[in-house]
Order: sequence, then structure tokens, then C-alpha cells
Amino acid sequence: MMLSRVADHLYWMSRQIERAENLARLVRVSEEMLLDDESLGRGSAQEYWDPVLTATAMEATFRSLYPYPEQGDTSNFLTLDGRNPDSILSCVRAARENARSVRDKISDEMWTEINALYMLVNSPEGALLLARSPHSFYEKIITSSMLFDGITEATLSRDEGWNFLQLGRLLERADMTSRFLDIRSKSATSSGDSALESLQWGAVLRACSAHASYRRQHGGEISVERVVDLLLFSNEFPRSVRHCLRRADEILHDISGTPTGRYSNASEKITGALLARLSFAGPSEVMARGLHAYIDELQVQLNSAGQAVFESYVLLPGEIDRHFPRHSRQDSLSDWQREQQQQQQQQ
Amino acid sequence: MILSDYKGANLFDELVDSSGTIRPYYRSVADKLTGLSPEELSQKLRSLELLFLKQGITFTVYGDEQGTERVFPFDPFPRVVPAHEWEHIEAGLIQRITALNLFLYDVYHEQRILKDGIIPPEVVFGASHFRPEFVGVSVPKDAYIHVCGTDLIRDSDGRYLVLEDNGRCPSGVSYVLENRAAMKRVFPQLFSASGVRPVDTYPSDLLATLRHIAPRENPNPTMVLLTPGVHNSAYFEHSFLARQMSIEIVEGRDLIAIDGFVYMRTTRGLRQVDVIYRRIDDDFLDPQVFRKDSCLGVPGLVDAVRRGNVALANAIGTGVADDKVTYAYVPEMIKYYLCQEPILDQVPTYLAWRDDDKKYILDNLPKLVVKAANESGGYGMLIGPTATTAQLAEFRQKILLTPRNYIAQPVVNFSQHPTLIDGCLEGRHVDLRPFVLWGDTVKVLPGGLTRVALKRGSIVVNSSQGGGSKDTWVLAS
Amino acid sequence: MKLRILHRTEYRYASPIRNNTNELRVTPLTNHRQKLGLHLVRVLPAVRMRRYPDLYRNTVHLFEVEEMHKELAVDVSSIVETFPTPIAAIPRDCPLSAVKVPEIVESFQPYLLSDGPIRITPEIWRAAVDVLTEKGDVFSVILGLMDFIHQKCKYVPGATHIGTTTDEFFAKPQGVCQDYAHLLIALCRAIGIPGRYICGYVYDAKRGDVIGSHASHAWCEIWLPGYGWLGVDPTNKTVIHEAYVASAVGRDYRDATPISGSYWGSGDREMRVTVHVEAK
Repeated sequence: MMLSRVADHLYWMSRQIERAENLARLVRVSEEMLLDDESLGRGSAQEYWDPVLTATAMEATFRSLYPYPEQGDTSNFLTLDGRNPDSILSCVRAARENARSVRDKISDEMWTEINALYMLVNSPEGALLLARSPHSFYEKIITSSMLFDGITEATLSRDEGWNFLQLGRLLERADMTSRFLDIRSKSATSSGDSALESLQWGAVLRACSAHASYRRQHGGEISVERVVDLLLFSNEFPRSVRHCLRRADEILHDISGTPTGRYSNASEKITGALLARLSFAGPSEVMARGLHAYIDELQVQLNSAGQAVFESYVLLPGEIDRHFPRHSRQDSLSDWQREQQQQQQQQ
Repeated sequence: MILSDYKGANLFDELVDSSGTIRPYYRSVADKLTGLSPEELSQKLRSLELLFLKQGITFTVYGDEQGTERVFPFDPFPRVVPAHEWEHIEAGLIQRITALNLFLYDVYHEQRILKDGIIPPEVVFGASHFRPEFVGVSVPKDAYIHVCGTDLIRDSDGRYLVLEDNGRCPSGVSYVLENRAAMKRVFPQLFSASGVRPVDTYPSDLLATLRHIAPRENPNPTMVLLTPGVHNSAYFEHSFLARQMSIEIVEGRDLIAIDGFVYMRTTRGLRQVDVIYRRIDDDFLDPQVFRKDSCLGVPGLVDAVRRGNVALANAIGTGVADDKVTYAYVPEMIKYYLCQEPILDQVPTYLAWRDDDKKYILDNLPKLVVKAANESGGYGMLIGPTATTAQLAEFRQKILLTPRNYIAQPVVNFSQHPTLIDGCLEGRHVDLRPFVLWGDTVKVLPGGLTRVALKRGSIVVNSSQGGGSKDTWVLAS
Repeated sequence: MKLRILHRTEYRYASPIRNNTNELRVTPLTNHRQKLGLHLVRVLPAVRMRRYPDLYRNTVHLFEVEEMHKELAVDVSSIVETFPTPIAAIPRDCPLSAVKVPEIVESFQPYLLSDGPIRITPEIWRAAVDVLTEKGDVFSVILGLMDFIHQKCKYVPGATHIGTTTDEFFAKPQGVCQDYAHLLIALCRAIGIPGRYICGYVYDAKRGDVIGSHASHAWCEIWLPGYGWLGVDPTNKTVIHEAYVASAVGRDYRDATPISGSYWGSGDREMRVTVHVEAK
């Protein structure tokens, strides 16, 4: 048994760290590619960044903050811009806030690492490193996140808290992997340039640390179908959507104590259905349906899975209705989500 | 560290007497401290600071948008309180909390002390923390203040004086425990054969205090600590205490009141809560009753309290007892309810709402300390002797507009204590906040938070305004 | 030794009562064998407390709850430092004639009377004289009388009531510390030794050894020429020592009742007393 809010904080803490890591992967690989592209004299930088912003659903925010974008604005927007609620900085800050709220439920080492990560993105030294060597900066973020994962693995009891932590990480990873695919979803249909295609899909693989797995499975030649196969449907590759969902499903059943294959609440039902879909489909269905459309649907379902976890374990509307039918819960959701700005002076 | 340069002053010095001789109960610790080489000392200080930083023993400074956390500065020279002095303090504090709890019972019931003309009714009814909604409501064990932090200072004769009672949500006890733990780790040799009374039973004593008020004498109550949240300046303390007591630390949104009972939301469903150690002010407890815009609290909580289904520590409405105008009447309460003389003296207080006093205050403003009646933490305060003309004018205006809100006291010379400033020992003003628990018996934690004003000459010891702290040693004999 | 005493009395009235006036004799004395430290008398509902010393120099707390109420709680906490009884200073050769001098008879008049619950009957006098003829000095007589009581009487709570007199107890020797103390006083007075009644507390270090540690206790003091009032506890058959704290003294129970009072109202009243004595 643990407080619903604690479960929520743990879930979001790991989700936000995972998101920061994936953003770092995305920006790092994009900047490298951009360098290549520029040296090849192809396209404008902004054309290059636009799909990234679209896939990560940050386009509108970016346009409002940078009506006349200049070089470097996008990577700054994605990395250290505190005004962007989804930037790496914002994610890490939010993760740390979540960690702070459950300081006594995580290990000291986890707290230290998350603090170190926060110092990296929120200090003049960090900004300097980013300016001098973006590559090492992003590398550090990725390493820190993975270190955090490892520390968690090695220092946290396998109790409910650990389950919620894993759940957050896995759902976020599934979501981000699908977004990586989405960035190049246009080129999956429109481009005729196979060299460019290979370069771009190679970048997606690199962003997901999937290059080695891909080569081992499919050899050196890069094709859309195979990339989609690895990143969506692989049962073995740890960043594939299917793998993440299978683990998430196991964890959800572990939390509720329901045997696999059955479900006791909405979150188990949704992930179960999603997993079944991925198990009985393959890249050809995806390509037939259109990669972008397919991922769009997938993301809607991933979102509802996250929402269902929140409802089942945090908001408890079912529980409250079942036991106390007379109680009105008109705005318990908004109550919950309201920011707790109010501070009072203690003596 | 060299002591020979250390000078007392023409006020009470904790370490040396008026002839400059080290007081006998300080000799052992002073010898051991001065035996350290400067290198040893600075190395130990560094490890202390690291320890505090690593453990996140921090507080948040208000008015800073980023919510900056700072380490509470810690001074390694412990304050020593000999046994006979402590016995006096302890007796005085127990007497005081007893009288305050009787006073609270009385003003929320028959109000005899008002009817008998001992305290003017407007003192109580004009106190912003008086809760008329709670007149006639019974609280468990008829106790209101379960945890009290009373600020003491020493005048130039070394007399301990009560400066104020904190009967709402006093904070600082975590520093008492953490300071001691850190001192033991970094300066173990100071403790050998020093006869310092331990402070580490506080969490279990606090837990027993909470269990004591469980509704229907439930021997196995579910107890929680209610915090305003992670952004509160005392959050570290809240989480520290909850951890030490092994109880859940909850925010308002974790609790839900249904049909007069309070539950917490857990991943296994709702679980009934019996006792709430709340570290959140009355105003924010329940938006249905108090501040409507509060989202820190729990709608329906007050109703559950009224019905006796959940107990709060401290009870609602204790603020009327630590109001600075009420403070002036505490000696009267002690005489009225207990038929005794106060054991601990307090600072003479002028009440601006009494015309004579107001005139005196306005005539002597530059010599007085003026405080807002309902503020704490060193906010809303004027220190006459160091105030600018503009500040004096501002307070004069405030006092004329809302006299009930202001009191004035003569400037009391806080005692000074040697404090390490840039490697040298210098005298700095200190106060002392001991903690009292009112449960089945009354317990005073043998120790307390010694706060030190790190700025030379300053008497503002609050952490938010440049104060630090020391370990406080109460000797067993 | 330093003792902390908590004495709590709670009354619950079946129907609301008013004008509840009470006198408390619960304040430990300060004398050569005990010193009172922190002492608090707390009454709920909260009322004005008054205080005066009575004829026997007991501290009396006095209060009245005028308004209707159904509950009353009196909480007394005291910290007392006690000193050992100087056993060596007790004279072992003081003849009975030493107490029969006019100065003593006059100044201790109240402590020699057959009065109130202390009734000196011929049977009691006979028993005292029997012990007296065996022993020589006053101290031995006192010890002998305690032995006698101890053999004759049985400690049975509930067998007697507050107003039980010594003759009743002597006839049916089952009772509590109050009866034991009254009887020893009666036996002493019967042969001309002044005796007075003490109400107080006793600390049971070994938990279970001492009778009377769970409520307020009663014993007596006997006048010993050349020594003064010597405290003896017939219930536990001992000269009192550091574990004993006296809070009131008088001719008999009536003068030293911890709580006595009156109120307007009718119906049943429930009383619960708890006493904790612990070493500090």
C-alpha cells in the first residue's frame, strides 16, 4: 500500500527523466545530421527541425516563443529553455520536484543522481558545456538518465514504488520511440532518394541506440520496414514499443495482483489490448495503413493508458463511487491537478 | 581555535562570566574545542557542511521565485545548559503550556477568565486566530496545544525570559535532531564524558502524543503528517519527522473527507485516517470553512473534526494563545487557573490598543521593538534603535491605524555566545526554542534549537533573515 | 530520590450538576524529609483556582464550577525530592513515660482523642496494653503494634467504606490502608502516644511489592520524644522511607481527604482515580 500521490510522483519522476533522455537523444542526433546536411548544402535548418517539433508536439509553443526563428533557436528551445514546459531543463526540473516530494521513498543515491542531473542542466557550467561541446552535453544527460535507471535497479526495493517507477519509464519510452519514427514518417512515403533515406533512418536508429541490434538482425542495409519492425514490433529490443508495453503490462498485473491475460481495471485493459494489437501485426500492416496515421493512433492509445493508470490508482473515482455513492466528485480531478502554489509562512 | 582573544560584553555571555572566566560547565567543551588545530577545525567544518548539503537539510527562502533552498548555517560551538538551569526552564515551560491549554479550553467554552474580568474580551475576540466557530466544540482530551515551541532569551542578568509561545505549528525540531547527529559524527570526542542528555526520543514521544488523542481511544490509529507541500519552507522537517515516526506524509489532495470521516487515497484504495499532525495553518485546512481559496486543505475536514472522527494536533484555534497581545496576559492566566506565580518571566509588553500604552509606544518608538500581533518568523517587526526615519514613520502610521495589531517591548539584550566567524570566535546573539509535548504526560525535549544571529549586533535569529543554529547541550547533572 | 507523581481524578455525573465546589489536599508537603518541586493542579472545566493553608498547614486548592456540567477532571502533577529517614537517629530507649508529660499531652491534644473514625474501644485499649507490656520503649511498642495489626488484619479492597470506624474494622479486620492507619493511630492514642493521619503517595520500585502505590496511600505519624513525628506505614509494616511522599496531614481521614466537595444535582456519579508514581 502506498499513497496514490506518491505512486504518481514516482511514475512522473521516471517518465520525465526518460523524456529528458529521449529529447537529448533526439537533439543530439538531429544536430549531427544537420551538420551533415549543411555540409552537403541541402535544405534549410528550419525545414529540418520542423518535423522534430511536430513529432514532439511542441510546434505551437515554439512558434509563439520564436516567431522569427534563427539558427540555434530550436535546439535551445528543446534543451535549456525554461519557458518551454517540455524542454530538457523543464523535464529534469519537474522530475526533481517529483523526486523531492518522495524524497524518503527513493534511495539517497537516486536523489544524488537526479540532483547531479539537475545541476548539469541548471548551472552556468552546464550552459558552457552545451555551448562548447553539445555532443558531450547530451551524452552526459543520456548517461545520467541511464545511470539513474541502474541506480534504481540496484538500490530500490522491488515494491509497489518500484513498479510505478518502471511503469512511467516504460510508457514514456514507448511513446518517445514511436515519436522518433514519426519524425521520419513523411520521408517513409515521399522520398525517392534511398541514400538520404538510409541516412535519415540510420539517425533514428542511432537516436534509439538501436544500430547494433539492427545490424545484428538485418545486416547493414537500412530500410523503413525493418526499422519499423525493430522499433515497433521487436520482442527483444528494450526500446521497442512492443517490448515496453509487454513489460508495462506485466508490471500493471504485478501491482494489482491480477493474473496475466485478465484485467481488473482500465489501465490493464488498455495496455492488454494495445499489446495484442502489436503482437498480431507487422510492418506491412503499418506501411499499408501509413506510418504517420498508425503512430498517431498508437499515441492516442498510449495516452489513454497513462490516463487510465492515473484514474485507477491515483484519482480512485471508482472506489469513491462504489463506497460512497452520495458523495459528489464534481471537480476532484481539477482539484488534484491544480498547482499547489499556496505557501504559508511557518513559525 | 583560540579562546584567549574571546571577550565577553556588557551583556550576558553564555561562555564567560563578568570577570572573563569560563563558566565551569563550559570548561570541558571549551578545552576540547580549543585543542583542535585550525586545520583540523576547518576540515571538520567542511565535512559538517557537506553532511548537511548531502542530506538536503535545507529551508526555502520566500520571495525568491526559484524557491532557492539553502543550508541552515550551523555553528559548531555548542550551547551548554547546566542541569539546574534546565530544571528551571522545564518547570516554567510545563507550567506555561498547562496554563495555555486551560486558557484555550476556557475561551472555547465558558470563557470564565473573560467574565471574571482578568482578560479583556476584546483581546480574545480581536485576535485574528480566534475561531468563534469552535466555541463549544470538544477536542480530544480537552487539549489544544500538543506541540509547543517557546522562544526564550536571556537578559543581561542571565535570566531566561519567554519571548513568545509558538502554539500553532512550531518548526525547528528537526534541526535539533540533525544538529546533534551531525555533531556526534564530526566531533565525537566532544561528547566523551560530557553528560549530554540525548534528544533522539523526540519522534517516538511525538508519536505517543499523537496516539494519545486518537478518536475513541483507538489503540492502533492511522496517523499522518499533513504538509502544505514540497515548496513549504519547513518541508524538510515535515518529511524528516514523518520518516522518523514511520507515518505517511500527506498533502491536502491525498485526503478526502466523506460523510464526516477522513480518508487517504492509496494505491489500494481509501484508508481511514484517525489523527492528523498538521503542519499547515488553520486558514488553509478546509476551504469550506476557512479560506475559500485554499487548495492546500481538505474540504470537509473541519466537519470530521467537529464530529470527533479525526483528531488534529495542534487543535484548531490555538493561534489565539500565541497572539502577541494575549502573550501579555499569560502571567495572569497562570495566576488564574493554577493559582501560582509564573516560573519563567517574560518581556514587559505594551499593548497599542490601550491608550496609555499607545501613547508611550508612540513617544518612545526609537527605543522599542514593535511587533505585529499575529505575525511570526521575524516578519512585520520594527527594531526602534536601528530603524530608519522612514521605517519609524511607517510603523507610527500602522500603529495609529490598527492598534490591536501591534505591541511593543523594550529592547532586551539577548545573551551572546561564542560563534565561529571566519575562523575566529566572536560573540553573537542567541535565543533558545525548546519543544514541549502535551500528551498523557507533558514532556520537554532536553535541548532545543539555539538560533544565532550571524550578523554582528543583530538580534534577528530567524533562518529566513540571516540566522544560524547551534547544537544545544542540556547536561544531566 | 526524585519522584514524579501524577494523580488524576475523573468524575462523570449521570445528569448535569452545578455549583460544584471542591477542596483539594493534594500538594506534597515541604519539610525535612521531602521537598516539593514543580507542582501543578489542573482542573477541567477550566476555572479560577484559589489556594490557602489550612489549620494543619496543608495546602488547600479550592475551586467552584458554577455552570452546568457533566464531567470534572482534576489532574495533579508533582515532582518531589525525598530524603532518607534517619533510622539511626530514632531513639530505641525512650520510655513510655516520656510521652505522658503535661507539655506533650497539652500540645498534642487533638492527636490523643477518641474522635470521628478513630474510636478507642476497650477492646482496642486491651490489645494496645497487651503489646505494651511485652515491649519496653516507645519505638518497640510502635513496631509491636504494627506487627499486631499485620497479623490480625487482611488487606481487602472494598470490604470497608470511607466512613468505617476503628471499632468496626477491629471487629471485622478486613480493609484498606485508611483502616490500617486509623487503627494504628487508635492503638497508639489508647496508650497515650500521639498519632496523626497522613495521606500521600508511595513509589513501588519493584512493581508489585508495595500496597497502595496505585492510588493515594495513607499511613500515620507517631510522636516519638527526642525524635519528632515518625512516619510508619502499618499496611506495609514499615517505617516510611524515601519512597513515601506525604501530601496532607490531620487528626484522621476527614482532615486529609484528597478531594472533598459538594454540588447541586442528583443522580449517580462515577469516579475514576489513577495514580502514577515514578522515579525521575
